[in-house]
Order: sequence, then structure tokens, then C-alpha cells
Amino acid sequence: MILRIFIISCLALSNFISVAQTTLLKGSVRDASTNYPVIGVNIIVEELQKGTVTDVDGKYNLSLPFGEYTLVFSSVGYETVKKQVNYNQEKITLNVVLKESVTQINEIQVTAKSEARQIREQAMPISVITMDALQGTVSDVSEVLSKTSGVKIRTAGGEGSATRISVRGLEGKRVGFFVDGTPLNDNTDFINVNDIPVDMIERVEVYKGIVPAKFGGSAIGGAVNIVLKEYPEKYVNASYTLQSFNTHKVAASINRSIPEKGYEWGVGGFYTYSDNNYIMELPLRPGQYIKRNHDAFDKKVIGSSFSSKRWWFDEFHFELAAIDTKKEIQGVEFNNVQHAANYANAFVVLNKNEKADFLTEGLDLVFEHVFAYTVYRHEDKSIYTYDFDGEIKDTMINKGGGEIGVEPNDLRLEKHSFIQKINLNYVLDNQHSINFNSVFSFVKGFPEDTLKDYSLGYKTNYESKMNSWIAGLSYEFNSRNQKFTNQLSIKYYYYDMNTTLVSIWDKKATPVQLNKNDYGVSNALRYKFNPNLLAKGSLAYDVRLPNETELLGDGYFVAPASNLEPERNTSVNIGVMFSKNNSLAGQLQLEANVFYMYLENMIRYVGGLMDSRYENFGEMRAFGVEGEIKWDATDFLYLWGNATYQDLRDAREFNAGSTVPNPTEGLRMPNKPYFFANAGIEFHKNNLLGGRGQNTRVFSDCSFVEEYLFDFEQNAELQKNRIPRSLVFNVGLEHSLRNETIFIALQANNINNAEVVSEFRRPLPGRNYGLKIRYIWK
Amino acid sequence: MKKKLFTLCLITLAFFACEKDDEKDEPIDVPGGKGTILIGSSIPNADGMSGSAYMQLVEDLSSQELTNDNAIPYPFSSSLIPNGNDIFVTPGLAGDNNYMYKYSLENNHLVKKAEMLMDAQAGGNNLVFKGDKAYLSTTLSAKIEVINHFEMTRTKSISISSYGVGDNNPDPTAMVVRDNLLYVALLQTIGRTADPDRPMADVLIIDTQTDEVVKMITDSISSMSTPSNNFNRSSIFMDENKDIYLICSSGLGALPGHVGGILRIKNGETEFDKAYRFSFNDTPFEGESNMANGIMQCYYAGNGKLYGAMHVMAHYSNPPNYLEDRVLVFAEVDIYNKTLKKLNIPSSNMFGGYIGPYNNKLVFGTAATNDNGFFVYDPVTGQVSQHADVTVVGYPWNYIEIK
Repeated sequence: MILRIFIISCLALSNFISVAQTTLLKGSVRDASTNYPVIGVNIIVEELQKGTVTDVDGKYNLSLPFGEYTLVFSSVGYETVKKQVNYNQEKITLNVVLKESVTQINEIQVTAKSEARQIREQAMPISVITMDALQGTVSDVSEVLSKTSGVKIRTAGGEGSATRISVRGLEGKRVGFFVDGTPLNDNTDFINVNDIPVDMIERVEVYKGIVPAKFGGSAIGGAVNIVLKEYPEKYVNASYTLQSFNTHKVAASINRSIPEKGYEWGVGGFYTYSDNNYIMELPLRPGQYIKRNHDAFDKKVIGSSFSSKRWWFDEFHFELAAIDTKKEIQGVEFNNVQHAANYANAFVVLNKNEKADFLTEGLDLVFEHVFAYTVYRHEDKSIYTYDFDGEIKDTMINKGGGEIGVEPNDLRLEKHSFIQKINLNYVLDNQHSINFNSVFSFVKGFPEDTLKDYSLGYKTNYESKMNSWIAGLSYEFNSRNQKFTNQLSIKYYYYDMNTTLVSIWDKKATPVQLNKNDYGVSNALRYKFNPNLLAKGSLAYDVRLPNETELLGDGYFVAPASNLEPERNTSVNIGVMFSKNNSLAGQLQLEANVFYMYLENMIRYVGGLMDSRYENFGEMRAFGVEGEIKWDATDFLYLWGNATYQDLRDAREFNAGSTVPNPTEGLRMPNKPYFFANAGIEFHKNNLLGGRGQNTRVFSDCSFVEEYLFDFEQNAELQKNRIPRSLVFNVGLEHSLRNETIFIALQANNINNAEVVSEFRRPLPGRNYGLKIRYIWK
Repeated sequence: MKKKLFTLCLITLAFFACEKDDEKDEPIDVPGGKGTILIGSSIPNADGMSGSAYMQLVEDLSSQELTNDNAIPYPFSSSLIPNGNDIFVTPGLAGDNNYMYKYSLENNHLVKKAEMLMDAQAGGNNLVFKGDKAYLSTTLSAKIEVINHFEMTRTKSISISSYGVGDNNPDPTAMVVRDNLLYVALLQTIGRTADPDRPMADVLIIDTQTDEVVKMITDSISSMSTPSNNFNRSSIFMDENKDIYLICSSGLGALPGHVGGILRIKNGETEFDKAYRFSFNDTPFEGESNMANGIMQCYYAGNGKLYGAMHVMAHYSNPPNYLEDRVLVFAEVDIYNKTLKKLNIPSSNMFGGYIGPYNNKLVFGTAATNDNGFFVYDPVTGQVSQHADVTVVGYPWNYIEIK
């Protein structure tokens, strides 16, 4: 899981000397009968045993030394095509057309099938962000995702701060977060979406309102899946980024494979440090500005991998990884926190195996095991508290100290986690396929906070054990002419838990055992009217089981609520996509989606006089429209833009447990952005400054978010709790040299120094700058 | 002194200026409404810890359905404290506000007069007055802030950290001034709950002439604990005899060995009255089959009659549901004869319970199963409307009759 982030790759030391001339091979692959782009086509250079796959637009690129090669283009359902070409120019375009085939399933490699499956998944409402054009970017994943229609990233501060992914207004626990299909929601203390260097990402898939059955998470609002790069057999990557607020990022990786022996190994890692010392206005003291001085973030990640293609499996893969994180806590509203911090360490072992034609022809198996040992610590044990003038405000106001809340903490939460994932895909023929996915996980936690126990006078946390199993079964149908695709999925969720709860009142500890199970179902279809126009529709009924904290509380202030029901979301999506490749007008892509959601049994946190707990009492309906346009206006000019309107309303008819009409029925749900838009312009040109093998990209983009209220709207003119409207402009310059071997990027964010807030009363940085240098040997 | 005179001049000028304007053109839909009765309502957010609260004036409590369209927002966890024609909005306890605001009733409209920046994360929901001084107990920072409420300036901070038992914060809450002494109820929580091994009640006494602590007194024989609460300024009050009564909620009713009830400090005394102990645990609750564990909100109406929203733990479901469980049962409490009698007013969840006077009647705010708003109750005849006289959008959060 986590380690997939670091298992990177690349470059053999022997290749350091390969400064030989290279060819940049680019092109596209299309279906012979429909002229549609073919996604996931496996392209292998026979002589080098290296390759790539086509992206969602059917495009590919490869960097090859000058020479004569045989390229093999293969994909499930198509006849394999071989092309022999002599490459002696710096840049060559090779477009290929594939014909349908019904007899070649056995000839296709597992990886080709897996990638090809993406074609069918297009029936779902999905946005795909490919990173090809962002190889040298200074931006992190959040910045890239935030420019996608229907998606908002809500951040509480600078580098390393808490981040929530919002998809069509549903956010946090309701949105699944996956890396290569492995769920990471329960590990966000250790890995954040922004921690993953953009250099390592092949693409980001954003599923909206529907979560594919092949993923194992329990989510209802959609999912974000980050797909990491597959590297060529010899690859070294190194980059350094310098950004405002004393931010430094270093990433490096080496990958080497020996095709004749079937072995491949890699080692890589990255280091991020930031002071996050930007100036902000104190939200509860308007007019008073401070420089953040206790918000440093320090993260180190290292990983290594080994894989073999000769050990019965088509691929046996093994990874090791370690993470070390420290994050100081910045006081914003209350105390000027000076000592409290969080620490997260993780050690992960992963084994993934793939076998085509397992047991029978056409049945592909992928199974994966992950073991993680994690230690999360939260230290808050200062005997002093400070005000924002830097003076000591109080001394040991709580028994045992602490700067945050009303008790000190010296929490150490040790967890042993094991995940076992099986995916079986059976392709019956060109029209029918079945997929079964199973994710079993076991977690045993050992929390200990002796300082808190001392302060409160009793033991608050006990060991816990949790088993969960999420299974999904999908059936996919494709019409003979490939115009119509339908995917029907069902999912089953189960988990049980054993722990000990202690009453906040009589301090008695009681063993607790509980289990929950539920199911979800979804159907997605797509029809292609012609090569330029297609339509999609989907209907999903998904559930999210309550998580550990919601069910069991925190052993102290958050009381247990073992009677919580799962959240249930019914969503409908209708969309159209239009694309046109015209020699005069360039390539144009238009996409529009309309969606409706109805969320029941919303789990909400309810503050009580004695303690607090989670309760089911919310219902919400949402209607939204999204539109996106991408236009390669000329061979050097690219324009894009998108806009999202999402209207989320309280749908409860009555107050909880009463016949009293709900006063907020029909009102817009608070603290959720309802209108936002992005637009950008990009100029790119080869050898703009002369020379050879160079590419220059200059871009500017802007993001707009309309103001929204933190509370339900009652008297909007007087309500002060609001997230202000923001309009932010960014500019950047990226330049690559020596056929994308060296990248230099400069970026200025928020050049208009706008006030930006995405979490209420959590000011974000103003104008800031970044410089990145990246070097690739391959 | 010059500053004060200048301020008074400005206020006077502003008053006449407003009066003149009002004569010309009576404002329509002035924010906050018009009248002498202040109604507060609250709407929690989905996160459960934040929300919004709204205040507005009405002229009477005749049957009406109020919205917040013309109400003035105020911080979710703040209290509204009256002093003559002034209304003070306290900083609150949720940490979402550092200011104390002052409004005045002018021509039956609310006019914002001043705001005062307080310490961060200090909390503070109880304010009492003595001449030009106001005392704000800051529960989270263990202080009593002395404020000139005319000028809205802080004149002194009295640290009471040393009176904390088990930690350095005795958690000051409700207060009452008798003669020249300020009596401050101390919750004495550790973390968020009372110490289960200490079933005692503490009151701190401060000399209002010197603003120095005189002493802390402790009742250690009645097993009563957790005196007063942060959202009920009447949880320590004085009767016609100038006897002080202190309501204890026994760790909100759930600490074994702790007793909910009322203690007394007799007129002229600075120690608890050992002869007075009104234990709810030992008192039958007429009309209610379960024992009362404490009082969440109350109003003393005179002649020994205290009207309270009794906290009845037995009404919690398992596990508790704070929105659906109607755990506040309205009652008439005879503090002299030590009796409890349930009133015929629908019980409320924890988001209601406010009680106050209205002419010669009483007003009860309730978030009940079939009603959400304020009931007018005649204590003489026992008559009450079948449904809420005034309904509000949100929970009925506050009620003040400005005289």
C-alpha cells in the first residue's frame, strides 16, 4: 500500500554514460473501424524489452537511442501489430491503427489486459489527469486535482497540513483515496495525497459519485486513485524543488531490470521539509498579522522493490518502505502553540503477484499482501501556554500541562495492519467479462497515553482488533461493435471489532464486540454515437460503514455509538463527451455532466453537554452540473477551462426525533463550496530558444471559488462566518533540455496575493514561488 | 474621567440623533427587530461543535412564528446577559469568538455599542455587575476579568489558578454579588469531568472593593458536586432574604456517590449553611417517575419558587441520543419546603430549557417532540398553551425580558 508510493524505479548506473543521441517517438493508436483512440495498448520495443502504454487519448511517447527497432502494439480484442522503424531523427511520429480480433486472448500479456480494462471503465463518470505534460511541474497533486471539474481540495495550511478531498461536495471519509487501487483512507496520518511526488505519478483517476467494485474501500462520494508510473528497465530520476517558506523537496530513484533473467529492482525515496512560515491574519483577531512559527513539516520516505517474471507468476513483486514524519502544530485561533507536534512512522512490506490464465484460460489473478507496522504519536505536554505576542499566558492550567484542549497528551498509537487483496478477472469473450475483487484487512491497535491518563485519573485507551472484508463482483458487457458498454457491480461490506470501552462517568472498562455488514450496487453504461460523440449514464447505491472513531469514540470526549447505521448514497449521473480533431481548429474536447445524489443516514458529530458522539440524522440531496473544455488551438497553444455548480441542500423534513419541521430543510448545506471554475492557457514549443531537443512550456491559470457560508444561511447579510470568494492567478515556465532529460521549472502561485481560505479560519499562503530542477537518465 | 465624559457625550449625542431620525422615519426591518423581549435561537452545524445563534426583539409573546430573517447573528456558544437596557454577548465557550459585545435597547431596537477583545481561548459565559464594574468568569483560563462595562475596558485580571483542585484551573462559572462580596461557583473539573473521588462543592469569595480573593469555601459533607453550569447564570442566585442558593448537578448526574441538589449560604455568612441540604436524590419528583439529577436551566420567581429544567438521566436512551432524548423535564422547585413538581410543559432535549419571566407569567423554551419554541405559563393558575406560543427557527436558545 503505502510503499507503492516509493517504489519507484529507474535508471541503471551504467546508463549514466549514455549521452548518446536519442529519438523522441510519439504517436497515437486508433481503432480501425471506429477511429476511436485505443487506451492501454501495450507497446514493446523488442530489441530493448522496454515499452509503454497508450494513455486515455490513445497517445504514447517513448525515448529511444538512435537505431533500428521492432515495435509491437498489442491490446486485448485487437490483432497485434509490429512495426519496424529506423530511428535516426530527434523526433518521430508513428500512428498505428489496430483491427479487432476475437481469437487472440492468449497472446495478450496480463498488463495489457489490465490497462485495456480502462476502456470499459469509461462508462463511469470519471476524470483522468495524465501527468505526461507535467513532468517538470512544481505543483503538487492537490494543485493539479483542484483544477479538475467537481473536485476541491480543502487544506488547512501549508506543506504537510491536513487535506480533505472533496468530490461533488462529498468529502473526507466519504471519498475513497487509493494508490494503485489500494485503499489508503485509514493511513492518512502517514501518507497524504500531497506527499506523493508528481514525478512518480502516471495519472490520477477521479471517480465521481461511484466507486468501482475493483477498489476495496467503503466510500460513497467517489474515489481518487493515483496510478504510479511503470518505469523502463533503466532509469534514474533526481529532482530538487525550492519553494517559498523555506520549503525543500528532494526526490531520487533508481530502477534496473535484466530482461534476460526476468529480474527488476529499484530503490527510491524523497525528503520534504518546510517551515510553512507564511504571514497570516489571525482569524479571531482581525488586523493582527503574525508569521507562523510552529508549523514545520519534515517527511522522509525510502523504499525498495524487487520483482521477478520467472517464478511461476507472470510477475512476483516485493517491496519494502519506511516513512518518518514530524509535523508541528500551528496555533491559529486559540493558543499560540509552541511545543505540540505529531509524529508518524511506518514500516511496510508488500508482496504482489500476477498470473494470467490462472487455472483456466482467460482467468487472470492478482493477489497482494501488505503488512504495515505504524506508530503515530501526538505530543502535547508543554507546561506553558503562550499568547500571540509571545508571552507566557498560563502555566500548567491543565493537570500535566498541554497547549491544546483541556488535557495533555503523550499518545503513542502502535498498529499492526495486514491487508490481503485478491482480484480475479475472467474474460469470457470479446463481449463479456466478470471481475471479482476481495479486500480483507486486519488491524490491531495498541494505544497508550500515560500523561492523559495521569491528568484524568483513569486509563482512557485500550487495545482494539478489527477485521473487515469488502468484496465486489462486476459483470461487463460490450456490444460487438464496441459502441455500447455496460458494467453492473455489487459490493458487500463486513467488519467486526473487539475492544474495551471506558465510561467517562464511572470510569468502568467494559469489553465490546460488534459487527456490521451491508451491500451496495451500481450500474454504468456508455454509448458511442459516432467517433466524436459519446454519452454516459450511471446509477449507484453505495454505503459507507461507520469507522472506528465514529463507532467507538476516543475513550474520552467522543462517546461510543455502536448503534450507528451506515451512510447510504444514491447517485445518478448523465454525461456527454465530444471530441474533434480538426486540422484547422486543432483538437477539441468538450465534456458535460449532470448529477443528482441523495444521501441518507448522514453521520454527524453531535456536541452534548456531557460528551459528544456521532449520530445518524442527516439527509442531503445534491444536484450539480459540470462542464469542461480542452482545446489544442494550434500546435503550440492549448486552452482549457471548467466550471462546477453543485447545489447541496438539507433534505430532512423534520427535526431529529420530532414532528417539528426542520428549519433548515431546503437550505444550502453549510461549509461547502457551490460554484467554482478554473481556466488556463498554455504556450508550448520545441526549440523555442534554438538548439535541439528542447521544449518550452509557459502557462497561466486561474481558479475561482464563490463565497460560501460556514453556517446555514439565515440572514446572509449579517452572517460573518463565511469563506470568502477567491480568485487566484498562477504563472509558470517549464523548460526541458536534451529530449526531456533535464527539466527546469519556475512557478509563481497566487500572484495577485489574494486572500485564500479553503477550511474555515485557516488562512492559506499568499503569493509564493517555486523552482524545480529535474534530471532523468533513461 | 475626561474620556468617560466624552464617551457619555457621544452616547448622548448618538441617542438624540437616533431619536430625531426615528421621529422622521421609523426604520422598517431594522436588524434585530423591535420590542422589549429578546429571543435567542441556535442552529447547530453538521460538525456538531459549531453553529450559529440569532437574537431578535419581539413586542410580546402572542402566538407567532419567528424566523431569523431579520435577526442579529451572535456566536454559537455565547450567552446573552442583560443589565438594565444593555445586553452583553459573552465570548462563549466554543473558542470561536474572542470578543464580548455590548448592545443597548434604544427606542425598542438593539443598537450595537461596543466590542471588547478578550484573551484567546479564555472562554467566559457568566457576567455579573456591581456599579460600573462587571465580572466575567473565564472558565478556560482560570480568571475573573474585571471590566468597566460603560467603557468596555478591562481594569483588572484576578488569577484564581491556585484554587484549582487536581489541576491549576478551578473552572469558575456562575456568580452572584451580595453586598461587597462576589461569590463564584467553581466547577473543579479535571479535563472535562468532575473528579469522581471528590464529591464536594467549592465557592470562591472575592471582595469587590479590593478585587482580591477572600477565601474559597467548600462543602464536603453533603456529597454534592459540580456547582452551577456555564450556560445557566441563575445556577447561583439570591432570594428575597439575601440567602444565596447554589445548584449542584453531581457531575451532570452520572458520578457514583455524587449528589445533585441545592446548597445555601445564608445572608451575612461566608460559609455553607450546614443546616440546609436539598438533595434531589432523596426527593420524590411529583408527576415524574424518575429521579432528577440536576438542573440545567432555572429562574427564581420569588417566594421560594424556583422553576427549573430538571436533568433526568433516566430519559437517555442507550446509547444516548442528544437530539432525540427529551431529558429536560420542567418543574416547580420549592427551595424552602424541598419539593419537586413536574409542570405540564413538554420536555426538551439538551438544546432547550431556557426559563424567564414575562409580565406576571413565566416563559419556557423547549425543543420537544411536537413543539419547538417558547411556552407561556401562568404559575398561579397552572395554565399553559397546548402548543408553543412562539416558535423559532432553530432551537429556543435564550429568552430575556428587558425592563
